[in-house]
Amino acid sequence: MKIGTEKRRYTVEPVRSPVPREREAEPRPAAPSSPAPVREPAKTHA
Amino acid sequence: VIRAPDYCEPVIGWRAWRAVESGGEIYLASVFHRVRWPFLDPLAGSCKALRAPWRRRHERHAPPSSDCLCGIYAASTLDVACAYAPGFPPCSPGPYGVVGTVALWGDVIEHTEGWRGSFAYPARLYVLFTGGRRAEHASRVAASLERYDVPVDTLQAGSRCDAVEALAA
Repeated sequence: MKIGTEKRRYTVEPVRSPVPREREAEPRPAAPSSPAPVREPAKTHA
Repeated sequence: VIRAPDYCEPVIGWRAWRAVESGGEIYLASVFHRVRWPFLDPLAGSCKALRAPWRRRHERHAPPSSDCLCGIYAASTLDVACAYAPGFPPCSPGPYGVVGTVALWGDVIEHTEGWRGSFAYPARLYVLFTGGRRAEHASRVAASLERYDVPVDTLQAGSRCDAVEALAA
């Protein structure tokens, strides 16, 4: 296939796989959860 | 040292394939090389030039190389890709022509009218047919190509221009 002259070179690492099967196997982003409970500071002995 | 990639989305280009029927299944094959495109796995490019005796002086290299013509090709326009689709002129026998979009990633070399990449997988496919009896068979070919798990359609096109116009609409 004639695609003209070379311009530049780069690297491509897709975040989501272009292959459907691999895309399904990727972990889904975690759902936003409720914020972690705030613990009160431990009391220290004077 | 770990190098960060330049892009995190695949390059999407156009290309043509042959739909080859063998051993009871129909799959995509490259137009110029005897390369079968696997179902549900990326196609990894390899340098065929190394097999040619007059190219043996080339060092073994990973495709695509700037010093070679290797790599998996995609065109930036459908017009360029359609020029290589089998099935035109309409009366030509043999395998069905398929055009569509392809995702390229890995190392990619950008050209003025397309790209060469190290990995590829089809993104969308159109099985070309010219009407008549081939229409029915084109539907069967399209159904078989659904194993790639990408959208597949048939496209009636009597000429390269018809295909370009239909897909541009």
